[in-house]
Amino acid sequence: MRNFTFIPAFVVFVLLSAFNLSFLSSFPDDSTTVQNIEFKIPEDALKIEKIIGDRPIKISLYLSPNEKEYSERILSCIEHTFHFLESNLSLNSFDEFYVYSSSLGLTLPQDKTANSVLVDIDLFIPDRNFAFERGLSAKICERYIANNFGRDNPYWVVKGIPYYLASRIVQDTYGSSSKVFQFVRYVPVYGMLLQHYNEIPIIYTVGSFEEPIGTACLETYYNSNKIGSINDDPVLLPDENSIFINGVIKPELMFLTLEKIVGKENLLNAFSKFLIIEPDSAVAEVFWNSLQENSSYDLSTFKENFFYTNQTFDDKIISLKQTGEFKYDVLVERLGSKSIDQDVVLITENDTLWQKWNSSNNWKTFSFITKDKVIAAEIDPYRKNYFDINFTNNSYTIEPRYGASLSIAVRWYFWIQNALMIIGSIG
Amino acid sequence: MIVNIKNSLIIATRQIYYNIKFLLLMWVSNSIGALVLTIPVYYLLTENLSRSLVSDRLAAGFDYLWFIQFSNLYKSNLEQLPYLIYSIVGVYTLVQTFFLGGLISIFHLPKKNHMVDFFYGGVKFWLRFFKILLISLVLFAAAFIINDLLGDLISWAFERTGNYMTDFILRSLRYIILIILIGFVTIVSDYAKVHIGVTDDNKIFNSIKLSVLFIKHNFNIVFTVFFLVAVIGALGAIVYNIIEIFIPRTPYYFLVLAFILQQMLVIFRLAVRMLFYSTEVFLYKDLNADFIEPVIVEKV
Repeated sequence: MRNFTFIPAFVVFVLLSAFNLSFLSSFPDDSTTVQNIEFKIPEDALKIEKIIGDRPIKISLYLSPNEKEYSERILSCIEHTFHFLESNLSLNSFDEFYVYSSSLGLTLPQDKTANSVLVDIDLFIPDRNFAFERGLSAKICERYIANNFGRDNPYWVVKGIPYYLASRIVQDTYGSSSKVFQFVRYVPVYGMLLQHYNEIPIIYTVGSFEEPIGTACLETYYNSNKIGSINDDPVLLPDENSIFINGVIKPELMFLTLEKIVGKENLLNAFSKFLIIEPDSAVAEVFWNSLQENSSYDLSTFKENFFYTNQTFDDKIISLKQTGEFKYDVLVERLGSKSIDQDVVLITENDTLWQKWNSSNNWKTFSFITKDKVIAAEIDPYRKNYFDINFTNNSYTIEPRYGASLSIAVRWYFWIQNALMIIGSIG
Repeated sequence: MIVNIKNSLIIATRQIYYNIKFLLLMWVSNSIGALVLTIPVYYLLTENLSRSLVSDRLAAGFDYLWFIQFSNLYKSNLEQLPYLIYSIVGVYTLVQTFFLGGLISIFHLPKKNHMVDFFYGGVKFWLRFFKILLISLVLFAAAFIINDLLGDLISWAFERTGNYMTDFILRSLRYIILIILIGFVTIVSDYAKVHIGVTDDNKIFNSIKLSVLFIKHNFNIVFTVFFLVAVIGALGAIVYNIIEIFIPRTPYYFLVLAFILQQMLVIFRLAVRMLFYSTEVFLYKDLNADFIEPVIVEKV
């Protein structure tokens, strides 16, 4: 009788052990240098070398044989990343750089300045989604900055700047990503998943939906608590999530906002100046001073509201009324705790009229004079402030608009009809 | 009648044509259910977009930033939606169970296909069909639990192994097993209802047992017809998706065209659902019919 119970258990054990064979080929965490790793690379690993850039960097890429199809894509991403860093920051770079696939089961040195990164390569990497490139680029930027900055903190520098740079590099090189959801964990499907049960999509829409720069961060930002500010010491923050939000997500959003206020070049110039900082200087002040030197925009309120404190932002157009034959009044309100200097515009049939709102009042009425037919009023038309939680109320139209609501509702109606038919068919 | 696949599909399709009024009834009930779930969403959308220029941007193309902000702003409202969906699905399923009784009655006795006969059949078989529904639900739940447990086992076996391809193949196989289980429960449940509708049997478990035996004895034709009807349903969805790609999003009058197309697909899918039952009733009656030997009478 004992044999009968033993045999199936043995078979299961053998099968699971067979599946787990790659465990046997992984190595304990005793690697300290790249030279040590070289000894532990599996014999069948694919090694690709390429020399890139004007200041040549030798790239060595190690992959599993089945990952060969992604080698060009990975090399292209590495090349674009180094090209961006060299041409925009021009700091100390590497002579050699190593990229290892995590499927090789290696462990990298703990030293963050080491010239090597591990990259996770999924089974299927969709062509029009660049999350893979963003992740790889962020790791390279992290090493590049650590190599120059030489400190482990603050987080907004050692993590936040690399993630912002990676987003910028991917946006400039590849454009906006197309949204994907995963089917059976691995199969990427272009579209959006609205309702699902485990890995089974229930309500979804298939199609090409562009994710503009910053939206991946905003999704995380909206779904997390907002405790703490970027400048807070991570030790004082309550949990890992808060450290991540204040160290990575908020800095990226702040840099994207700053990009639109002071310009991308000025921001990158400020990075290249302050990243080679003197060992004992105050990092934050050096950064803000470097940035202010190149900008006519007064950043004192900005850094107080975005960097040193935790504020909410939501600007709204309350109303747009015709108060005279050619006069229109636009009532604007700040629903959030703070705001930045904003443009308020009146959009007419032939022109757009601009005014600045730079007072600290919570509301203000702006008067515009025009003979043209007025269409709408809008605050922050270029969506400069990434922290504004609601861009929809930034504008107010003279005529109500029902087209988009109706269009989306019809789509939803059809999804529900199908869901009812599928789930209801069990009856 | 010689029972073959072609005959069963043709005759069953004719039955749907003769009973098209019930198809309309099913469409109306589906539309009302969907409308109840759409009104709250439409209200939120109107509140958010009716005075905004974002509405114009959405007309030109989808704005993902708007979508994540909308989801965040109305998070508490949207979180309640799944519960509303589950409630409506529950009611809808009960109504469908009622309609099914009527459908099987009229497919069983084609000449008695008045609305009264339909509702009489619905009332007569509702409780028995409801019991079968409960058994099916338990089996469906078991199928999903098995699927989840298999998923956990695969995750455990492949965690940190980097053996993605085997993991993917096993996960895909797990879904094939799930589909087979769902298909098996569905076909047995369908034939159990058909058995009750045709024979007026009161014993639920006996009906399930007899339907399993019936499927086993006539597996080839029963499965092939079931599969072909499913393929016809899938073809409709494929054709719709191909046409839908070519319908522009703007101007808004194309929305009317898209809506008409969507409703055509919904009606088609409901017709396919009727076709499942129509073929099943036909096959069940014909394959179970007593074979009468011809009696030759010699004239003296």
